[in-house]
Amino acid sequence: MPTSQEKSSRQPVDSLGSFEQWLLTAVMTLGPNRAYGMTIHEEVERLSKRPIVSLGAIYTAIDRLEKKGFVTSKFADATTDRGGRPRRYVEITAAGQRALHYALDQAAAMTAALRPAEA
Amino acid sequence: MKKGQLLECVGFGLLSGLLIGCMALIPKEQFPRWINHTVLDVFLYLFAVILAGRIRAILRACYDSLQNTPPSNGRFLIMLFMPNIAGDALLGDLEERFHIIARDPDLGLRRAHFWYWFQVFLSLRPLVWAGIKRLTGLAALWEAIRKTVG
Repeated sequence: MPTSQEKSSRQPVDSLGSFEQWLLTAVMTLGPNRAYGMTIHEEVERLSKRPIVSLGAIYTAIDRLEKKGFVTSKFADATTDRGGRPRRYVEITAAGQRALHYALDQAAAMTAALRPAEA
Repeated sequence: MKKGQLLECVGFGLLSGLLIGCMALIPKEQFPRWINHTVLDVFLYLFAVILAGRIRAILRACYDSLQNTPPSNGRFLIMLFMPNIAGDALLGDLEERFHIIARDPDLGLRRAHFWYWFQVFLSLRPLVWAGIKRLTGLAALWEAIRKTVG
């Protein structure tokens, strides 16, 4: 049984929801120079196999993750094709990577626990 | 509307008016014998179908030529609930994809408009909910509960 000190050293302060996990995965796979609203939206749809994901949900999730300190964002590249509006580039932070790995470890532990029961 | 389309519309309208006027003014007794009521009805029906088709085609061409920009009402709705630079970036993403879909020969402008409105309505729910949480302080309460319960 892990002590509370061990638990707090491994567990991030904020946990991640399923959608936030997909979003962080998409940001990580795209990299800092390619991850902006539209590409993240496409990547989340592709990875999660969800046919319908709204751009609004992507933006509110980015806001949420930015407040938690899991991502940083900057505004740049306002082109005419976008009506002179900027792109919001997103980059994952070290805390975000830790939180994502923690969530993946949890999922892996659950999968391992279920495997003998299925067999 | 282009000049050619306008001329076509006016010309077709005048011709239609002339034909309908003639048919209404000339008494049926003066028509040749082979033109009975059934023939006349079929002719009128076909004429109405052709006229409706032409008007629809002209209106569609006008609509397409006017609407190669994203719908302004959709932009207004997004800016209403996300009136900051993030909302601007969101609109930019929508506009970028709108033009990609509109330029695709397999999809076209109609699909681009449909996709834009679909995304606006889908995006409204999370934006409105985030706005309500922010305004009422529910977000802070929810975070406090999450941190306490775990």
